[in-house]
Amino acid sequence: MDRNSFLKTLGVAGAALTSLPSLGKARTRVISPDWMGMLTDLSLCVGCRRCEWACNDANGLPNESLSSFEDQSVFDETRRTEAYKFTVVNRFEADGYPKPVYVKKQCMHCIEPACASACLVKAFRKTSAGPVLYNEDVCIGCRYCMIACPFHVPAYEYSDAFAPAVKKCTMCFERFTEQGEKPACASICPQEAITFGKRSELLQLAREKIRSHPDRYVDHIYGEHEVGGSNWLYISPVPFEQLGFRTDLGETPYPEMTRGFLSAVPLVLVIWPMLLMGAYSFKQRKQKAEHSCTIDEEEVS
Amino acid sequence: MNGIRSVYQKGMSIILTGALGLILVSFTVPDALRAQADAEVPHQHMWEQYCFDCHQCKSPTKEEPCLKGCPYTGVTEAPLRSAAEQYPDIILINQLAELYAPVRFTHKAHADMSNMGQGCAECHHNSQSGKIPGCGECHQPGTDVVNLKQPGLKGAYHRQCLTCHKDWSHKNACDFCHAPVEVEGAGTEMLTAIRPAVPTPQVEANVRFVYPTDYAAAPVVTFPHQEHDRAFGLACVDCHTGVGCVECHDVNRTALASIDRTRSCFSCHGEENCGICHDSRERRSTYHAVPANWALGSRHDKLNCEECHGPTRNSTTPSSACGSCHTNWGIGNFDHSDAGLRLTSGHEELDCESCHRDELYARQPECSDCHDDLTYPEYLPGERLSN
Repeated sequence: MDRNSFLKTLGVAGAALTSLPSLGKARTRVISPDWMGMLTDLSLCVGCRRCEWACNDANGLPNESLSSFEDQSVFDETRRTEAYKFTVVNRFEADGYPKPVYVKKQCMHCIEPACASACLVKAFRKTSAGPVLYNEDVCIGCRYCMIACPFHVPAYEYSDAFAPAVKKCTMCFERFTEQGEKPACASICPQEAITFGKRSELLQLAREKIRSHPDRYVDHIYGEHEVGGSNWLYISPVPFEQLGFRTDLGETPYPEMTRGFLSAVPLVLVIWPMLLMGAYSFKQRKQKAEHSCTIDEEEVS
Repeated sequence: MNGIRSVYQKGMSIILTGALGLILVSFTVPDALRAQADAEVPHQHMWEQYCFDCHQCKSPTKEEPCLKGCPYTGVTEAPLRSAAEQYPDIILINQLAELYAPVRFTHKAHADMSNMGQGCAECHHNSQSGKIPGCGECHQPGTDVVNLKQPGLKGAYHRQCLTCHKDWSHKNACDFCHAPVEVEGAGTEMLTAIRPAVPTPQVEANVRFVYPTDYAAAPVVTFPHQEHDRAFGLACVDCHTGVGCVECHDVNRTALASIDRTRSCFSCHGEENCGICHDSRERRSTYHAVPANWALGSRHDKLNCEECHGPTRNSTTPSSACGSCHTNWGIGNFDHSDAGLRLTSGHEELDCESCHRDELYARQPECSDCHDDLTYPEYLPGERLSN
C-alpha cells in the first residue's frame, strides 16, 4: 500500500463514519426536561365539560352558566376548536368498549410546531416552559398556521372585521408561570383526568399507568412521538384511531419536511442573484475595459 | 527491506479493513439486537418486577425515595365485610364544598352493596390491616397540589363515585350528588334530609339454565338456578363474586343481566353419577324428582326449601305423608278438587284414610278396595276436573 491508497482508505473510512449515523438516525431534537405539559387520561373523562367552562372563564371568552354545560346534546356532533372555544369535548363510541369515550381537544403544543414554521412573521414561538404561544401584534392574518396545523387547532376571529386574530389554547401560560396555578382545565376537572406537570414526568406517569393496568389502556401515549412529539399527551382505553385522533401523521416533525427546501431559499434568493449580478457586472466591466482599450488603440493609430 | 515493507503494508491494510468492517457493522447492528444486549444488564428484570412495585423512579435515595401512593404495598387487606356497627352510616363530605353544598354520602348503604364486589376494598383500595383509612387520610385537598403519584382528594372522591354512578345511570349531572350553594338553604336541607332512594332495576335470578355439552349419551345439562338459591339458601354473591354494580343495575337494561358463572358445578359436585346433571333433554321440574324421587307439583314448587326441609344445608328429608306437614287436613278442611277430582256421592264425607290406605297418597286408590262390583277408572268417586 502506498501513501495514496492509504489516504484513500482513510478518506473512505472517514466518510463512512460521518455519513452512516446521520443516515440511520433522524436529527436529534432538543427536548427540555423542564418543559411543562398535560396528560389527559381518556379512561377517566366523564364528559362533564367543566374544562370548557373553566377555559372560557380563565381566558375571558364568552361564557355561560356552569349548569348549562351539562347539556349533553352538544355531543351529537363532533365539534372543533373555535375562536372563542379554545377547548371542546367530543364523545365517541368505540368498538367493544361498554361506555362512550370523551375526548378533550385543544392545542397539542407540539415540540416542533408546524404553525410556527409556517408563520411568515414568527408570530408563534415555542416557549422554554413548553406552551406554544401566539403574538397577535405581529400577525398579518395570512392564516397559514391554520393550514399547517396537523390537528386543525388554530381558529380565526372571522367575527372581528377590524383586528381579527388567530385564537388557540395557551396552556394557561401566564397562570402557571406567574400565578403558580395549574391550567384552568386541569384545576377544575372533577375526575382529575387532566394532569399538569413536567412532560418528562408525565411520560413516566403514563408509562406507569399503562404498565400497571394493561387491561385498562392501549399501549400508546399519543403525543409522545406524533409529529415529533407534543407537550400535551393522551392515554386511552381504546385505540386512538377510533377516537378521532389522526394516527397517520408519522413521527417526523412537520417543520423538518420543509427544512431542506426552506433553508435553500435564502441561498437561492440572496446568494445566487449576488453571484450572477457579480458575474454580470464583472463581465460588463471587462467588456467596457476591452472596448475602451480598442478605442484607445484606434485613437493611437 | 522490501519484504519487510510489503509485510508491514499487508498487515496495515488488513488491520484497516478490519477496523472499517467493525465500524460498519457497529452502525448496522439492528436495534433489536442492541435492545437484547441492554436487557442482559444483571437484575434488570428483577428491578422491573419488584422495585417498581413501590418506587416510581429508577434511582430512589433516602432523601427522595419516590414512593408510590400512600400507603401502597400492592396488597389490600381491607375486609370483605365489616361488622355493621364498625362503619359509619352517613358521612358528610364537606372538605371541598365550594361550588356545591356538602355531599351527604350514605356510606352504610354503599358498604352493604359492596358485598357483591370486593367488599370494603371496592373503595378503600391499598388499605392495610387494622383501621381502614378514609379518602382524606391519603389524598390531599386543594387544586394547587401537584402530585403525580396520586390524585388529589377531589379526584379521588369523583373517581370512586362516578365510576359506578355514571356507568348505570348514563348521566353525569352534578346535582345527582351535589346541591348547588347558590340555591338558598340548599346546604342545610342536604344536611338534614336524606335524598330518596334512587330506584335501581330489579335483579331477578333466572329460573334455570340449559347448557349443551359434548357428552354424547346425555348432552343436555339443566342447571336449576333458582332452586339452587332456595335449596342452599344462597345469596347472589355466594357464587357471583367480583361483579361490578353496572352488570346488574343499569337504567337502560331491559333484559336480565347476564353474569358469567363464577363458580363451576364441580366446586360443589364431585365426580358423581353423570345422570345427576346430564340428560338427553331439558329438565323441567325434575330437579327435585331426580335426587328426591318425588316430583314437586305446581304448588309445592312455589315453596321455599326451608319450609319442608327445615334450615337448609343440613337438610332433613320430610315424610311423604301429607299429614306430616298438613296437620289440619281432614273432612271439611281439604278441597279435594285441588287434586283434580271433585268428590261426590257421599265420598266427600269420608275420612282420607278410608280411601288412601296406609297414607299412600301418591298411589291412586282402587274402587275394589271398598266396592265389590266396581273398578277404577271405569267408575269414579266423583267428577274429574279438566286440570
